Parts: sequence; C-alpha cells; structure tokens
Amino acid sequence: MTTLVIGLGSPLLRDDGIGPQVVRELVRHDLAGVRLAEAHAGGLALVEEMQGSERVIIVDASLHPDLRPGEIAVTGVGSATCHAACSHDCTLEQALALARGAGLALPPDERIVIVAVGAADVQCFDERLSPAVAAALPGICARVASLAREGAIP
Amino acid sequence: MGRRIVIDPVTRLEGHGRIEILLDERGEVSRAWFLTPELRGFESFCVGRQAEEMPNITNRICGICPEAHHMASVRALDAMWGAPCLPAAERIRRLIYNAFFVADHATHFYCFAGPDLIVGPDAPKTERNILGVIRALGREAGQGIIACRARNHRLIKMLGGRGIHLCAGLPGGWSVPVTAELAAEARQVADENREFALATLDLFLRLIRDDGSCRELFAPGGADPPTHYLGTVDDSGAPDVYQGEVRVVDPDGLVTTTFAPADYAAHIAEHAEPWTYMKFPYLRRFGWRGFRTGADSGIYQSTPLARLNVADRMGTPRAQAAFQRLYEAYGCWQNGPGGRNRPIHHRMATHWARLVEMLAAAERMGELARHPDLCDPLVRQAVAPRAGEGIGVVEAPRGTLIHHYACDDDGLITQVNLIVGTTHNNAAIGISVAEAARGLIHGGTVTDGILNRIEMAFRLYDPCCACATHAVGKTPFEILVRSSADGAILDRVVRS
Repeated sequence: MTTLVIGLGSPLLRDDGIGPQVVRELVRHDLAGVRLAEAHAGGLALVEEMQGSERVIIVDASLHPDLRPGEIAVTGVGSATCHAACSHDCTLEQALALARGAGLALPPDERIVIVAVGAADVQCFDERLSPAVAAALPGICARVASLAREGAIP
Repeated sequence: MGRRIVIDPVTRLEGHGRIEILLDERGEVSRAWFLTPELRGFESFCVGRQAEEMPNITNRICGICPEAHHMASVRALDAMWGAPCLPAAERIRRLIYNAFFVADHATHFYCFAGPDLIVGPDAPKTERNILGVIRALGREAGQGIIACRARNHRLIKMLGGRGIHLCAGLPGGWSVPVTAELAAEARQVADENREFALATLDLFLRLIRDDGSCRELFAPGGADPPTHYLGTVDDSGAPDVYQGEVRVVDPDGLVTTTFAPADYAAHIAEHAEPWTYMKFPYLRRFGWRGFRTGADSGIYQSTPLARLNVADRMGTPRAQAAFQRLYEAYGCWQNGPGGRNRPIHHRMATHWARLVEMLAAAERMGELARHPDLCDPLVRQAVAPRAGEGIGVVEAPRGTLIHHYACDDDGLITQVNLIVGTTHNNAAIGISVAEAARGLIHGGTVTDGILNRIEMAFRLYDPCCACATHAVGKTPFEILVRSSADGAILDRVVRS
C-alpha cells in the first residue's frame, strides 16, 4: 500500500510549521515505501497532492482548545483541521468529493488520517517552533512514523 | 434601538476579514464597512535576509497566489541589481505566469463565485458550494476544472522547480531551460486551456448572464458608483500581466496618468484608518477625500475589470472578440474619450472580465509555447549584489502587485514594502459592501440570503486578506449586525 505523509502549514509561521518540520525529520526514519511531502494550501491543492496514494496522513497545527501545545489528536476527514480547507475554493471534504467525481485516484475517507498538533502560536512570522511544540517534536515524529508504517507494505 | 450586523470571518476568504453593518433604530443601514483585524509584520521578518531569498519567502505569504509573489519578487531583484531578465528566461516566466492565471481564474469562477452565480445566491447554504455547482453543471464540469488545474500546475512544477511554491526565479534569469518535451507539453496545455476558457465563457453567457437567478445582476442598467481604474498595459495598450507601464483612467475613460512601475510611490499613497490594519491606497493626484467615489476622489480599483477598463485592446484575437462583446453589452464600446471604451462601472462584470482574461492568458500561452526560441538554454547570468532599491510590479489575479525592496552592499535586505491587489481595492470593497447592505437590508430584516448577497459584493473582488495584511492564515469570515445605539451584537454569522 502506498502511504503519503503530508506536512501541512507554513514553515515561516512558528507552530504552523509543525507539519513541514515533521516530514523533514521523518526523512531520517526508516520509512521505506512511504512518500513525504510538504503542502501549504488546503482544499483542492491538498487533494491534488494526494493523487495516486492509497493512504494519506496529514500533519497540521491546530488551535483546538482541547489540545495543549505539542499534544496530538488523530482524527479523520470529518474533523479536519482549519488549514485542510482553502477559503478560495472548498473544504477538504468537498475537494475530495469533487476530485473523486472527476476520476482522480484517491484513498477513501477512512484511509485519510489527520494528525492535529496543538499549537501555541500560528500567527507570528518566525521559523522556530514554540518551546512546548519543539519539545514534543521527537514524540510527534515517532507517532507519525508508527502510523505510516501501519499502512506501508511489510 | 438600532442594531449592528457583523460578518466575520468572510466565507471562502483567505485570511481574516470582517464586515460590520450598523443598523439604526428603524432597522435601516446607517454604516457598513469591511475590516481586517490582524497584521503580522511580514516586512520586518524579511529585513536582514539575503535578497536572493525573497522570491522563495514572499511566495509563502499565502497559498493562493505564490506565483505572483515569486514573479514580483524576482523582478524587484532584477531592478535592484541592474540585471534585465534574459529573453529566454522571460519567456519561461511569462509562460508560467499565464498558466497560473488560467488555473487561478478557473478556480475562482467555478469554486469561489460559482456557488453564487450557478447554484444561486438564495439557494440553501448547504447547496452553495462546489458540489452544488457540479450537481448543476454535470460531472464533466468537475472533470474539466480538475483537469485544468492539474495540467497547469504540472506545467508550473516542471518549469518552476516545485509545485505551488515555485523556486526557479533568479535575478536576471531562471534556473532551468525548457526541454523539447516540455515545450510540446506546453503547447498541448495552452490549446486545452484555450478551449476550456472558450467553453467557460460560453457557459457564463448561457447560464448566468442570459438565464438563472443572477441574470439581473449582470443587466446593463444601474451601474455602481464610478471610480478610477488602474492596470498594466504593453506598448500597444493591451493588458500585460507580467510587465509594462501602469495606466490610470478616470470614471469617463480618460487616461489621466501613465507611469513606470518604479515610480509608483510618486502616484500612489496609502491612507491608514485606526479600525483596520489594511491600508487604503489612493491616487496622489486627487488625494484622500474619504470613502467617496467619483472623478475627484483618489479611490481607484485594480481588478480584472479595471485592467480591461484601462486597456485599448486585447493582445490576442479571441480575447479581443470577447472583450468587444463585454463592452458592447454594457454600451461602453468605443464611445469614450478619443474613441476609447468607456469604463464599465458594474462591479459584477468583474466576473465576466475575469473570464476574458483567462482566455487571453490561454492564447498568450499558445504564442509563447510556439516561440522558436523557447528552448534557448541561455537562462542564467552572473549577477553581483549591490546596494540599492528595486521595484517589481506584476498584475496578480486580484490586482496589481508591487514588491519594493532596498538592500545594502552585501545584498542584505534593509527595507520591504508590499502593496497587493486586495489592498488597492480596499476602499472600493468597503464602498461596495456598504452599497449592497443599504440596498438589501430594510426594516431590520436580515436573512441568510441577504447576508450572502452582501458577501457577493465582497467576493467579486476575490479578496485575499492574508496577502493584504501580509499575514499567513486561513481564518474564515464573519458578519456582525450591531445596534447603532449601544453596539450590541444582534446577529452574527461565521463562515468557516
């Protein structure tokens, strides 16, 4: 099974860069058969990146009040993070429906995993993660790597 | 007691925006305005960096028009270091940029405007989205949109070094030449884009302008308050999205100002208000006279319609025919000063103008893709940093985009100023929103359909608050209805 891990967010916006940071770290993990990608835009652009993959893991920052900075929640398409949508085109769910209807090879919803990482700050222009999120980075990478291996071809 | 309506954050809008509507004790609109309550200081983030980094930093201001920022940025570097772009590299830049225009305008028409124009402004909220558009138009329309985006984004990626956030721009040049295989693909993409643009224009005329629930919005009568218009034209007076001279026409269509992009600061100033972070550019010649339209106000627009309003002609044949049809429909064809077109003041015609531009971009791609020297390998040149200033101007899909940098002897950035399309249109957006609110809200009656129609007056500008405040974010939009007596929030609609 081809698995894709997408780090979603801007690497210039402090904790919004957690997704790209995770996929950059995962290069050093043993993840044969897993494709790694960075994405900055949600909606159609995000779905277009998924084309051809049978399983997708999206790592994105979240300001959900129930998540402490650095804490993660593993969810699905129905509770996608805000950045998985694009305010100039559509939500992740709509983009998936549109692209599937147009014949794009995309994984089913149940094979799209969203790893939401609690963020302290996604607004300030800064290439460094906040201390709490930076401290949690190794643990987040280990969890995402584990999720990626679950779906990879043994 | 009066009421106050706030729309915050605005549906399908990149960045954080809010519309506030103040109702008096009779339930009539006393004031309405558009504001952006965030600013993140992108310019200061750039100071001290190597200037060569700028094209790859500024293209991350938002995820919607990175190609525009990349091009404006690399053109600012060309100017700053005295390195005019090599001809082969310029052809690649233009080819990419027109591919971007096709994909961006197509996405706007079908995904951002389509829910209002095709599904209908008063349709149930759950239907007003891209899936409702596909239900109305059929599965083939969805395939067409996806295919259009896919072929253009693939071409941009192959020519630009990376998808979405391309990285191939260099001062005075481009990183990689075009291969023969890629040139053949570019020709194919251009031809498919042309047919897609023609089909989309036909669809617009048949289903939206001549039929459907939005027909009255495109009727020639009842123009919106006139403003000045600003856009870039080439030597022949045709719109040029990559480079040219900036032209301003007045509400009658008279060319009042023409200036080189490097002289923008002599002609454009920025007014600030304490209640919003987005500034209000205005024409220095007329000054800032508040939120007033007309020939004596410095307020102008920089939109697809504005670009056509300043133009004498289109640069390609099919776009020229579409241009003529648009201006004839509004009674503005060649009956202005000196035989020029009179400007179209109907803001909704911006949607139509966007499709004319899409066709023009597709045709221009076809010309570039067939250029005999497209595969010329001379795309790089050695460029030495030097202290100075550089200004790069391109037409972004949402309006004129200005990047202005200064650097020291080591090529480190000392100053940055950006004016983006949405900022140019900030005052006009506020006026459009207020006009729509005053026309639609009476006796305190505020329905979802009314609020959506007010948002339509805003969405036609395809605004991007993330760029305009140089803040990266995808916070949605909000409308607040407030009492003018005590400011209490009476209605609140959040679109996310």
